[in-house]
Amino acid sequence: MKPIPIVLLSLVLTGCAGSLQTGLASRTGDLLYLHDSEAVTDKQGDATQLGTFVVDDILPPATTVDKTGMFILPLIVWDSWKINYQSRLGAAQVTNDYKQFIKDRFIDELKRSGRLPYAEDNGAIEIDVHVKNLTMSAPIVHFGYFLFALYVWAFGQYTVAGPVDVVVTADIAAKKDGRELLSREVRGESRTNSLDARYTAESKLLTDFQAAMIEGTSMAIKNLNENLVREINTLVLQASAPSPRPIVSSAHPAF
Amino acid sequence: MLSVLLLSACAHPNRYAIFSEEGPHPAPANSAQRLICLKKDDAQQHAAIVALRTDKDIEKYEKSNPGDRAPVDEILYRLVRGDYARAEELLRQNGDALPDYLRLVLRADLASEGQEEDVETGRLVELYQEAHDHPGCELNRGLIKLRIRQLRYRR
Repeated sequence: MKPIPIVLLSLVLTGCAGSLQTGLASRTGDLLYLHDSEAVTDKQGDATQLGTFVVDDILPPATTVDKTGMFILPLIVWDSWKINYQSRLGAAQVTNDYKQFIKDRFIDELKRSGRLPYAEDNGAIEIDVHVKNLTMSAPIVHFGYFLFALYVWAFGQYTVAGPVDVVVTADIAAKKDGRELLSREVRGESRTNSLDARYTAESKLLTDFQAAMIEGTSMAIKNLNENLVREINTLVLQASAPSPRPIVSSAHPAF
Repeated sequence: MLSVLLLSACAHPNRYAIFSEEGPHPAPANSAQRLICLKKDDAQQHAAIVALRTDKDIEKYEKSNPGDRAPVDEILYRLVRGDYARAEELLRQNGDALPDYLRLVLRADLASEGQEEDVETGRLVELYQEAHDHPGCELNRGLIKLRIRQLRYRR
């Protein structure tokens, strides 16, 4: 009696990671978001211009799914299992050029919420950005059971996915006349909702989960760009801060 | 048989529902429904269209308003009815009759409904960005963000 459920169980367990990866990799989508920061219309001070904007290969070539843990409860009449996976969005599943997207949205954000004017060239302040890392946590958990009691048997399985957590890290530097005004590491973060067990078909869940990974990445890039511009805006505060009072010696002959 | 009868008796929610900023704010009937908020004065002018929530409402409206409609009413009616090609055509002809915020959101919505033709997602986001920055009714900002999610999740 026992070999039948064991064979079924092993078939299910060995097939899952590959089918999840294939399922996710077959879906694609655009990185996109709306700018909703407060637009600054009255821009004052030195103009900023983009020096270098470098984006490393922060996404793997294609979406991957790795098994990270497994729990099996093999009893005489009842087998149940829980398998944990971690997935990661791949560049092949993003239909637009993600490096260009990050750069274009950064310039849009700088024009929108930057307190300093933006110039295509001849800006007094040069901004260098290096987007160097993206970490993603996108868990998928697969549950299942198999009941086999002589003439009675039952089989069931379901999958839950998410939430997707994304952190993008970049270095920003600003220079004026060769003098460094700013040098800092900036992060952008986002978290999407979990996809719960409402999905009756796993293929539908995977379609939405791929969209959730793209959404998480888009929103982390949005947060990063807003934070980068926030850092640049601190240059306005530095410029408007009162300069330190000169030290006056009481021994000066005029006093 | 019973389930067929029950299903045929159900009123299906329209994809588009229009409401007034002054009245109760409806929750979307499903993940694909799109809501449009009208400013108080505009909602009063187009009160009959604002009341259309389901296909049954449209049937009743068509029976009680069989004749010619004002251009803005006609555009909104076509939109709610799901006749997007006609609504887009009317918007092109009579767009000036609409307040800016409504024209911008309708332009983006109708472009997204014709997405299978050749409108790129990037272009749709630009159109929605413009509508988002001129919301008219403040609730439209949140509703337009939901449109972006619908684009992303293909609803």
